[in-house]
Amino acid sequence: MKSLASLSLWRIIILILPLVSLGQTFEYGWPDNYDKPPQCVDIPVDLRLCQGVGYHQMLLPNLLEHESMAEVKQQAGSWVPLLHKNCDPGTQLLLCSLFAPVCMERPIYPCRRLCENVRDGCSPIMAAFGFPWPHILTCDKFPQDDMCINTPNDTSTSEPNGHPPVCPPCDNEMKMDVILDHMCASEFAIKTKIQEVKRENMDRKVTLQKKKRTIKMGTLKKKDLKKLTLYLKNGADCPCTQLDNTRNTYLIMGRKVDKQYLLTGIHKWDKSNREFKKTMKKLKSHKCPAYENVFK
Amino acid sequence: MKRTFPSLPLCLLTFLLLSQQCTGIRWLALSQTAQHINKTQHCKTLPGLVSSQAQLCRSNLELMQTIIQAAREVKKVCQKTFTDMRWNCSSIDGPKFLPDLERGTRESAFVYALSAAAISHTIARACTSGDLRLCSCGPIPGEIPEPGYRWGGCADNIHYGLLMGSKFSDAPMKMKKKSGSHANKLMHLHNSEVGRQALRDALVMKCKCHGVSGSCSIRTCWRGLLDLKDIAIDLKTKYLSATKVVHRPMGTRKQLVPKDIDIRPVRENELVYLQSSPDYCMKNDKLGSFGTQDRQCNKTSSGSDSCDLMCCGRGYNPYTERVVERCHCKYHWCCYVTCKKCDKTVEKYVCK
Repeated sequence: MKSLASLSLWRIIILILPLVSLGQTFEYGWPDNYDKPPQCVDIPVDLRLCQGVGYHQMLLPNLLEHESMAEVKQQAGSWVPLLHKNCDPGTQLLLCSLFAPVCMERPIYPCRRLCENVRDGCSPIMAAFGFPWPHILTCDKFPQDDMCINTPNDTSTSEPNGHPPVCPPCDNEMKMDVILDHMCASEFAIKTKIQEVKRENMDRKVTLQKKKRTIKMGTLKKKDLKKLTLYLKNGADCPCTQLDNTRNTYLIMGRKVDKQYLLTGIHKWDKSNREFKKTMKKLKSHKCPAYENVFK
Repeated sequence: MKRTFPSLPLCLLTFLLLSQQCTGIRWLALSQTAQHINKTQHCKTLPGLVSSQAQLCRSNLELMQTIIQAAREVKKVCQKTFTDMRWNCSSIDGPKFLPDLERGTRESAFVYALSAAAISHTIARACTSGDLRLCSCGPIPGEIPEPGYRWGGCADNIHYGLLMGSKFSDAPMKMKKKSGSHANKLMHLHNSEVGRQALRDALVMKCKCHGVSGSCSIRTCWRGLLDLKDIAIDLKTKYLSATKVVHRPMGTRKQLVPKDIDIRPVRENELVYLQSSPDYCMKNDKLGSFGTQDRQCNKTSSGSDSCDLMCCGRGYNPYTERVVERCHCKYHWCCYVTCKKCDKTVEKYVCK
């Protein structure tokens, strides 16, 4: 992996005593895989991860070696739900510095400190959904000098609260965009009622009632659907008003990690709520980003 | 544009005056072509082409820009690969070559192999990038991928690259007229094929993680070519272990066989040469040696670029150079970079 060694520089003070630099510079360069230098392109309006990031043009291929805009959009889409969590003020800046890097003569990477702040603030949220901090965002590989991207008001920012009190899957805003993003990030979604909620080690075990309606089947099989039990990962002690109210019907989203089914989102099935109604109608025609479209 | 002589009379003239052969890498002179080739009339004015190459130019006009790019790549990659050697590919500009490439030397073996690999590589990559509309992505492998893996992306079209590349670069060696010795033709064809085999070996599996949130739960894979500089490094290894051959009767035909080892045929991944090379220490125009006087060398190295080896024991002179470079660069949000200027004195060494 590339590293940035400190450069020893000597200024000429006395001309009769010229000195030799012993330092070495390993500069970041373009990824080796490409014959052509990256092109400067407008950030498209449907790259929602990076709307409002503070600049309007990006390099393609980006710093994650995504070669086409379709690939960028498809891979960036799964990160949009994390932005809604507001786990760190630098989340969008970190992600977009890699997904949609600023157009410069040479690539500008995020600073290691920015990466570490976002990682420390957001990895507990990601863990709650069953996602480890990914290899592409390993902080050790990012630079520590001045030639990198930090939060603009980095020196004056106070330490943010990285751990919101509500359980992450229960903390989703009742808003169409948010629900659809989480729907796409989840593997399945069902309409049902809660039968029982029990603590189990660090998790909370949610048993569902027999009567269920599938909204999104995904990888779920019919026989698994019958006796479905969901886990609220690391959710033994955080508050979740939805789980406290077993009389309501819920829209429940989840995904499978190893042999467990994790709860990734829970919304009250509220037909009187206009936003929820609009979302359910939109859901019928909404298409999630598909992997087949990556290389159009 | 200046009109060059037709290739045959020039070759004949060269043959008569210098008793040298017409070489098959004269198309490398295309690296100096500034003109954009979009009319068939342009094919007549291109330097270094034999008649069948000019014909290929007229019938595949779209391909010529890629071939010109390939010629530039050969020069760039060759000179970079041999930066640390006494012979450093200085004379690779055509169409007239110095004896280091005219005679069937080890160096010419490398250049023939690299040229054959480069033209096929550049064409294959042009298929992938969409620069060539004559072709598209390579085939999706037939084998079923493992769970979590999937075929995708755009595979480098090595088949089309090899087909069109060899048709063009091998054309001079396949001319029916006796415009060069048979031994030289066999040698050049063999070395070109070694280059193409190195290209086939450079087709590797490449994968990307396309899972949710950057995970590797789903990997998209395709067959892609290594960079040309990696292929050049492989060919340089073959250059260093190249085999001297002679043209000798074998059965009913004359073939190239190793000079000092009678018992085995030439291997198909082995570069071969007919003429031994000079040591390239002193300037010798008859042998195409520039010599290493005034070449930069590395005082602290123990490799071929060390001052002892590069200067052939003649010694070296130190000198100091003052350079101004950017330092203390800082990125400002959003989005510009400011740098300061720093003076720096570097000590360099050149051969006596």
